[in-house]
Amino acid sequence: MIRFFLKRCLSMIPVLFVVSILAFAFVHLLPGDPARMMAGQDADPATIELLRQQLGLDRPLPVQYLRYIGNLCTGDLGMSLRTQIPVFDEIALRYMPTMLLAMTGMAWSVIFGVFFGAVAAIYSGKWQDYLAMFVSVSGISVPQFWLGLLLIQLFAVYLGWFPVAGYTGKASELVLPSITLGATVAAIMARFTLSAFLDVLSEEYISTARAKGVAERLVMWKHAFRNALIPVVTMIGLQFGFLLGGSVVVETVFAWPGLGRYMIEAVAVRDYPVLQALLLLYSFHFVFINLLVDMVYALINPEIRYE
Amino acid sequence: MLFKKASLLFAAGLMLASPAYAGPNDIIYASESTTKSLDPHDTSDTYSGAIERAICQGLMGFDENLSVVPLLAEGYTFNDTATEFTFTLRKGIKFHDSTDFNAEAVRVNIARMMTGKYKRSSLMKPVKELQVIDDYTVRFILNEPFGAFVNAIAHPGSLILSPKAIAEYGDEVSKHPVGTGPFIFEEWVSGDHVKIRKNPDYWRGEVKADSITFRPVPESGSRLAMLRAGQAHYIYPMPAELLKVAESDPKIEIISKPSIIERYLVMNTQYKPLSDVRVRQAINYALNKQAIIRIAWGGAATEADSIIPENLQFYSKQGVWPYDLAKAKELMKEAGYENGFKVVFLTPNASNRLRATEMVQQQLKEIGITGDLESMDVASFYNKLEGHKVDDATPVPFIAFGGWSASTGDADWGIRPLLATEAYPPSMSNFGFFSSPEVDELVQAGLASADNSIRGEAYRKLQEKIWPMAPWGYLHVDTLMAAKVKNLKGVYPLPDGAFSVESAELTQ
Repeated sequence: MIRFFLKRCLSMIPVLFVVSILAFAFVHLLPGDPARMMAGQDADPATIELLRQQLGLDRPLPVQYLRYIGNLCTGDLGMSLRTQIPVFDEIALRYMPTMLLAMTGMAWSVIFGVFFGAVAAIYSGKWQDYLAMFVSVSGISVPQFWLGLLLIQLFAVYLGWFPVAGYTGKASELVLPSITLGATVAAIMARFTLSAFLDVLSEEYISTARAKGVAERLVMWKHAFRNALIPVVTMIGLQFGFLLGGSVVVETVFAWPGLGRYMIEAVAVRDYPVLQALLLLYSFHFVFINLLVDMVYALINPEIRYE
Repeated sequence: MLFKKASLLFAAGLMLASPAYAGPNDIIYASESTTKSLDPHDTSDTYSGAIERAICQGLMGFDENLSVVPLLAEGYTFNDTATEFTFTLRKGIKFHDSTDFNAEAVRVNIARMMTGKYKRSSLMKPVKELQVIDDYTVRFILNEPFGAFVNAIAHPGSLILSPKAIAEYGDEVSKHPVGTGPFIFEEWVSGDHVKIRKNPDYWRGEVKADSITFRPVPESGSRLAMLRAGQAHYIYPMPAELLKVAESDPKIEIISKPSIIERYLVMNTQYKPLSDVRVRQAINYALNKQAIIRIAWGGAATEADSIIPENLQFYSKQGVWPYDLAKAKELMKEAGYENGFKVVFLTPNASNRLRATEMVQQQLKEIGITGDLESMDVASFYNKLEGHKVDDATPVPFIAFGGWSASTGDADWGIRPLLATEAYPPSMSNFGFFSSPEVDELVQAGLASADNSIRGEAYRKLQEKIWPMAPWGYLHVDTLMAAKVKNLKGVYPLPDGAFSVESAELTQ
């Protein structure tokens, strides 16, 4: 198991190398000139030219690529063109807020999503099923920014229970954004759990268990639920990968200093090193989470073994 | 188990929910923008520059109408040809690190700018040398006459940093700015807030606010919610679409003020049919500016009545271009384009600009000018405009949504970079390739002297000359809107979109 883990970790390197090339190509293909954007709207040409030289943008692309990849090998992600602060530091600053938000958002969505999904499956066709699915469909349909602003109006402006926006490290600041973020994902989880559960319930071993006279509660929770979890875990992994990229909408509405907003700001001014580093980081998240998901499979189902 | 943890977290959240009570004079400023730098010489955005102005000061500064006023200098004199400017410095002023402000400090800062390494180095480009006459007198010798030089000195890019801080931190001074201003820098968390605190020994008298925290809140609805919930004291910009909500709240006061941001349509003036002045005039007659302001701009603008906004130095009113469709059609006919022609409409994709350009597209259809609209993000938009050449083999007649804010507060920087022949892209921003020898001559005349009456006369003639030539489709000048809680005093927006917090204070 550990050997498998290490082997998979090593195999991430070539993947990330290919991603680094794609990231470089992609950001340099975008139209627009970072020097122009950094210099400001009313800059004179000398300033723009000066910046182009300082930022190394006047050199041929292959040279720029070699420098980028050379620095990358030594762990240097470069400097943000916009702030002249090392990209690593800039990302480190925003990583925790995004991570916190992703984890709490994920926690809400797993708790409510899996619960609603399971309820809908167990009480299939009854009112509990319709209620659970009504709630989850609402969750998917409500636009995040609207839900966020609604929660702000109710809980921050009128009731004053939680702060409106911003992140200074208080737990109370996490509540509204994480619920907003979790709502959409919870809805997806609920739908997914429902279908996975129903699939399992139509399996023969469930009928066998029932025929044996196993208590219905045991059939549901021991036989069905556990097996239904496998595809759900895959979905959790995928969703978590997205959340770790930072939700642009939630971070914007709640003035959350995270990676999603940073990405948008970086795109707007064509901050190449930041964009490259973020693309690399996002890919790493997905590759790594995939690996974790594979590991979790083995924990849920003892029949799955990796060599 | 998981659920238990989560419910604990939720309960903990509830307990912590009541917001920490800020002290009586800790002010929170919520803004759309994020701080990008705190090194005045290396800053290109208005927002960062405005925070720097609370920490550092220049020899000259701007008052609330963007007029130049003395600050660290008591005053200045200049010679007839506008090539020598002598400043007398105030005595007894200390930087936040207790070192003295004097001629040497000015020399160090100007020398730093003159290395050409910084984004605002261009402000000192006209300078040949800086002479230190004595401890409290400095003289700038310029390469050639530059009448607008005092505006370059008043510009936030020319703020004076403590020489000790420059020596100690080098270019890291961006994270440790030290000046002479009313507030001392405390902390900057990149992507999040900047905090400054009261300077207890401020030379202009007692500072009332204990601290000011500048918080980026990009979403306008959240910004207003923070103000209403008492978690911010001042927000900028105040979104026009939420005006009714804000006005209904008795705790909130709206501040609106004309800006120096002018909006206009850039046209390719070098190619038929837009090279014909009658066609350009027809376009101006066909634009219903009032409708555009009301619908696309939420009413937060006034119709343009000169090529520069009213708050720019040496503005001279030409009167709003009337909306007159009959006249527009007549001019089109005269020019031989009775049946209209095709153009390309270009615009950045910010929602108000896109909406405005769509309205322009509809309005110009009335006189037969039709075409597709291309909207793109700002970086791509400039890329596109700069890609046009004056001698393009296949010229594109385009109409693009443009805007300009002259950060020096002076007519020169509101006209020369946009309409002088020397300003053809990529050199500057004359994206329509407008060119007129008379205009170029008057542009130079405005710079040939530092005497305001001579300069004023040149710019009066210049505005009168250009207006009927219709190089642009004239649109409007933005109105700045901010909102604050009623018990906050002394914070106000400046016409360039910056703000002043020097006399900020929360009253009971």
